[in-house]
Amino acid sequence: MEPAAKNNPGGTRVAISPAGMSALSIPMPDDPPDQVAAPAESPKRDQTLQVLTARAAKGDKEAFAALHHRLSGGLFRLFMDRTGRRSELADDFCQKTWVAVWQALQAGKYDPERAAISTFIYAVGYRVWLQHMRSTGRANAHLDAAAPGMAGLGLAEDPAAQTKLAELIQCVRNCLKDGDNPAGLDDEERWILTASSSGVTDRELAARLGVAASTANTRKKAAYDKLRRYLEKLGHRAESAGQLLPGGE
Amino acid sequence: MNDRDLNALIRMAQEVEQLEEPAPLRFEWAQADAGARKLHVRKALGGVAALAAAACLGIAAITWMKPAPSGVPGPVATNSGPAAVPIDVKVEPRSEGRDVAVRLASAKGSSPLGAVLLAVFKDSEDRCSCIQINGADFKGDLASIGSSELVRAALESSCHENPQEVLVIAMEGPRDRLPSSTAEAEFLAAAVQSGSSHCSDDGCLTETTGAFLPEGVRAVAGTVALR
Repeated sequence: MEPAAKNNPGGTRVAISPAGMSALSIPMPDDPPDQVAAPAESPKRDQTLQVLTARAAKGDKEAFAALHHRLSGGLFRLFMDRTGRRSELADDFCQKTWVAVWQALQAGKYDPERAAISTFIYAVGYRVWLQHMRSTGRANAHLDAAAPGMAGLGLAEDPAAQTKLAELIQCVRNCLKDGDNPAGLDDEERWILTASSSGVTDRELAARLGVAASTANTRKKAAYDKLRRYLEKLGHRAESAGQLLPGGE
Repeated sequence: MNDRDLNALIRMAQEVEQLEEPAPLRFEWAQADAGARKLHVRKALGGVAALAAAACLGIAAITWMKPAPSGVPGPVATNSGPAAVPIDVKVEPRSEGRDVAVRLASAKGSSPLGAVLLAVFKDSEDRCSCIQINGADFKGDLASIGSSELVRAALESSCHENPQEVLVIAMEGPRDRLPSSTAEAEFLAAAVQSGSSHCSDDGCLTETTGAFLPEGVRAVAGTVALR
């Protein structure tokens, strides 16, 4: 419902707010991964992002602006988390990321069949951040924290590495989503993977699952193996990641 | 591929999911002066990103939800009683955008009338340089105040030495439903900026502003190029 507006002889229109206003609806940023359900409108939103991306790739600046409008908030928040709440740095990273994304789209370096645009933007942003870490001499600290293989993909000189990283992440995203089951993971296995990757110990897993620690460990291994086999089946192997490391791993 | 790499990929996948979700507005203070109520807000993105019709503050994804229309607009606060008095504006650390929206939406609206003047100053590169909010004392009906008068009022205590453009929003209504802090001013300004990218005149801007305000709050908005 459009707010009513009242004209006055002076030409100034006064907006009179419509009745009521519900509270802002924003997902809690601290929800544990296994409790966040995919939004009901997610498929529609994904389709819209696809449409916008396709238009942006043809040079449509308005479409790119809309894409930016949709995703810049989330990207900024990610960088704020990575930079320890340093907004100027996060701002700078965002700008570099968006410029790189635009250039990649115009150069035909983004393939929507291989990764969602959000995943691609994430991969580009990850590279921007890693390059900053390397330039400040802190790349090694991140390599220890993240994983040499993934940081290697982000830092590799080969531009295709960025696309490969996006594709890898997208594959994992598909495996972890409710409904999709490309790797054959059941709900419990998906939960085990997300919990374990966030630092939940085997003992905590066991307590949550109501099983012995050894059983929890076995199930965890099975879940990781399933995911690993699926990714390898698609051609993503540790060796290929290693080849993309600067100077080799 | 070892477990460590898989863990990294899983975390990345989860971060991408978060990237797609609307992000709460967050602002950083570069400078805050409690005496002069000055703020500096984050610069808008430059370069290619400047092509975006994003909020001047560079933060998008504002979804201030509104209920289904009831068919009959709710009562509007009028100035039939005592004149609206300027409200005291607090300078405070940034607050969650969600908290701001919830507070304003849930305020009872039974407090005395108040008025505030919000101004967003932009520099020569179309970036927000600062934002200020002051308790205001509008003489007469808000509808009779032109945007040039509002801009003049905003410039009297401008937080920017040489602004290229200024967006002003004058609001009047129950005091508990008006933004009363710098953090809330940031939030509202970003919402208006984000929602008014399609506007080409002050009428549209005013209507867009009204859509972000609680019931009973009247607003006049205008934007003026100063150079």
